[in-house]
Amino acid sequence: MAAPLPPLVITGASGFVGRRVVDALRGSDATDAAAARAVTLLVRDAAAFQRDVLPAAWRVVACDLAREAPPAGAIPRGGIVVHLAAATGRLSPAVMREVNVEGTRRLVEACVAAGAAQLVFISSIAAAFPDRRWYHYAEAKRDAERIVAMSGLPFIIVRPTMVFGHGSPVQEGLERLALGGAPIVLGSGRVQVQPVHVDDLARFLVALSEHRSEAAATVDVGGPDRVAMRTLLARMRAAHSLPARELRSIPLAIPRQLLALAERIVGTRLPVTAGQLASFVNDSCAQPSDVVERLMPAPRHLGDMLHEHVAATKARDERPGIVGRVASLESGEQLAREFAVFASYLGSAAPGARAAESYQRTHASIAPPSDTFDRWLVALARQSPMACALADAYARLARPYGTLRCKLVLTLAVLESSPALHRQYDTARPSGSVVAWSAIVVAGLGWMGRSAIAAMLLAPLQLVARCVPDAAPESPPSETSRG
Amino acid sequence: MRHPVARYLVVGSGATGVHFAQTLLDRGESVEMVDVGFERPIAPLPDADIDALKERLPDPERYFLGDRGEAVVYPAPSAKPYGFPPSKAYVFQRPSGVQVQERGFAPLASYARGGLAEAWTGGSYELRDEELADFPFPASVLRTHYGTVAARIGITGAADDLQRFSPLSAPYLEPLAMDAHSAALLQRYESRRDSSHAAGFYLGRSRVAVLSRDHGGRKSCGELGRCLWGCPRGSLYAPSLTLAELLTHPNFTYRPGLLVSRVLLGPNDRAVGVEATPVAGGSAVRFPAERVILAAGALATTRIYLQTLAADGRQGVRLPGLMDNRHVMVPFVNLRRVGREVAMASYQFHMLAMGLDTGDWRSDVHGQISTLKAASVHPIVHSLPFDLRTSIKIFRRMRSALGVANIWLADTRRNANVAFLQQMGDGATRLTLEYGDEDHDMDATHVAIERTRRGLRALGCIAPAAMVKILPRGSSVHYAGTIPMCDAELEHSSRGDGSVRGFPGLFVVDGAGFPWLSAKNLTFTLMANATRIASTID
Repeated sequence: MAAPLPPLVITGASGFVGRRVVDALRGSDATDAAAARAVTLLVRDAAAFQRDVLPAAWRVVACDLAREAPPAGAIPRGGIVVHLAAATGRLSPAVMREVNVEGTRRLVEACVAAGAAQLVFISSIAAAFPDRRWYHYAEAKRDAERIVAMSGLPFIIVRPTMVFGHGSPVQEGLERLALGGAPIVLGSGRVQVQPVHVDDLARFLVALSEHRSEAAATVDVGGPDRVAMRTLLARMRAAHSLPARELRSIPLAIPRQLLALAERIVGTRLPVTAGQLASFVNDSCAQPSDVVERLMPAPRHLGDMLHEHVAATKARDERPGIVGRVASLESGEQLAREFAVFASYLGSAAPGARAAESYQRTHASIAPPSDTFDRWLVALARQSPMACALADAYARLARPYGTLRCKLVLTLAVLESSPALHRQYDTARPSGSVVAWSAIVVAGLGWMGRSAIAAMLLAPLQLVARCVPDAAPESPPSETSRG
Repeated sequence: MRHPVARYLVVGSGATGVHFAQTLLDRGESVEMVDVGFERPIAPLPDADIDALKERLPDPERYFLGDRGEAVVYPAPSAKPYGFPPSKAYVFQRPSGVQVQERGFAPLASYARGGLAEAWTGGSYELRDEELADFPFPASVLRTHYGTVAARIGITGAADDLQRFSPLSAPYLEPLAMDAHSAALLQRYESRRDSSHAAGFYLGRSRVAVLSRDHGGRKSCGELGRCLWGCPRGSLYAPSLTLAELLTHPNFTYRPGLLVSRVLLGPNDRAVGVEATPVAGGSAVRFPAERVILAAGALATTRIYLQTLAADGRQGVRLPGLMDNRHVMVPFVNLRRVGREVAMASYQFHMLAMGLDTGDWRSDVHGQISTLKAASVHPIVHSLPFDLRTSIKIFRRMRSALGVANIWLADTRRNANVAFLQQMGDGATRLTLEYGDEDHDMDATHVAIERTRRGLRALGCIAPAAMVKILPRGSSVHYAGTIPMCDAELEHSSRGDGSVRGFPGLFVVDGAGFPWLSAKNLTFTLMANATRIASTID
């Protein structure tokens, strides 16, 4: 029988990487030792695991490291601690320090006091960036690394490169740059990147927690492929079957300085911070490491990561089950009213009861709103055909794949299939060539006017929406980020 | 229960299976066919055109969109301008026992009566002699069988500029009358023939397995505009029509509802039957046979072959050479056609085909041009760059001017593209398909796109680069190459007569046996090749 594995403590278990580590641990219980291993999930909000059926030897302990030390007994003597909890994204320097530096200090002190056997600290490749100006996250991770290194505990510092996988904020952010009609790359696009898949990283961390090493070390973890940022964005387009486009380069020197200045005035309400742009001016590549090669054999190639993400996105969009959740939130009466307004906007003032019933029945095929603004757009569009026109004009520009567009497309699909109504949609409107071109120009001008008004009214609303917490019941579990 | 020993046991009822079986029956042999065989639903209101269908069906929204809206194409970066209708769901239904993992490859598979060709658009093109150079039999032999198949199924075609890419040796029916937009494109091409040819761009009538006159029990095209939803007249050929004829033959036994898992091997690895699992559940059933013919489609045949090896103790075999045509959609607007009328009730699919001469027959590009007639319009409307109401207005004005060129590139067998079995935790296996060098033909693809756009421009059309879609590998539905026919005595290959090396009595007659993949639609050649093998098998 295999020797028992030391107890394990994981912080940030409800975050993007943490969830996958938990999944990898549960998937590795093929051996008796793994199944019997005592695991403590140290999380800010214990409710995140309320619905999970955890193995008998596991426990969930609530602790907000930004405010408090781990409770007594949370860290067992001889245990291995994997510290994933972190603040990421658009947060103030104070919050970054509070969570990433002071939180790490509290955890380290608790580990020393409890006699932990080893601390595995998940830092970031950004901690090694030569240019970390205004990047409070990178500075905080660097300071936290120093605390870990000075702790006297056996430690391993892990610096992942860009972490990809379904739900990856980095991957989704880069896709937004790559997939538009006019794709852009920030900076020169020549910086080198080496993304690693979140499941490979999770597998590595689990393996690391099972192979305790006395030697202190700092290891970089990256995937097998190293490419220029410009190449990465081009491959993202190709994975989505979009035509190749020249990526327009946006110089970053002045915008970074302006953003840094603006942040002093408006704080973190801007869509992006100067620090977050550091990834576009620094290489994000991993130094080779024997430990990584040994414990993370055959990591996913970049092509697989991109195709997997496309497939997962498609599956999410097409999953009928997801819709039941929307349907349950929106009553039949509400959907019938919504359909009447949308149909009127699209030109059918009295679509009929059966068409409305079809809309309600098939509405379950629409994914739920992804955030507050998506929800606001739908709410606005429901008010009247005119409000719907404004919301749609803006949605086409800012949320082309959002919930409102999907609802309107479903409305159109129902109308083009309905008796008596379909000819307004599925047939040609013949005329002389001059009349046809004139009508197209007039329609285009009307669209431009509506879009301009919609942008003036709704762009500020979109900025405001960024500051409002998303209270949607169907939103995914929160990241380790406190944003 | 012990089943009698079949002389010929065919696995699969797709394009190759039914023509293989019919040829044997014509020879006076007996044939048994084992198949999953999900059935095609009966087309409602067979005499109604698309417009009347929407007016007269009791619940047209359910017919066109599905119970749960599964035929609605929502906005997404990779959204296609069309979706498969609920009436074709049976084509892509997958039995629960089949597990497939794809990497860099998104194939479609079918377990329906008639297989994938139940959802094809009928493109039927003979290969040139040189395109059969890699096949281990004389090209002239296949001509006879192209003729046999064309006579069976009915293919329309015309002697035109496309003969340089695809001969017209078989008996072809006169083409259908063209829709106004297609006719305008062809007329403009003819007025600029010389300059188009100088640019290597050729246009002509597409060769289509659709009837322009009645044929047996099938009626000629009634121009109902219902091709995509399932032709109710049997005008557009589908292998299930041949299967229906086979079912009336006294020497034909059809065993549906069975998923073949492996070939049973006897002494000296001789094929002695197949083992199949009832799709509805239950224990495995064995069907003894003197000869086993795998005609389940390239991917399903590959699965059965690998599972046969695994059951024989040969796990871990990787079959290189998986092929699939690169598929690109190039939408266009014919500026001269804006504001015209559109006859919705007409043959819905392509009426024109194109070829790009690259100077090397191996890399010539093949394409089919469809003008927009009857269609679900919402996928097209929401792809326009305006709000939805404006998009509808502009779409209706431009509807008569819209079309799409679907182009395909040839593919070759390469070691990076493999099929193998992966062992699952529960003891089951999963077919894994890896297309490892997805990007190898991107340069050629971009050149083909640009040349197609230039060719369309010469016809008065604009094809916006932003609208071009390079589809994911696997979209062409032309799969081949895992157990290739060749003269060399290689492991995991087949001979010119379809027999698999190392397994006496086992034959592969579908795309798995193809050693090279032309850019042209594969199905006609698949049917002719299966007929060729069946005509000589002992």
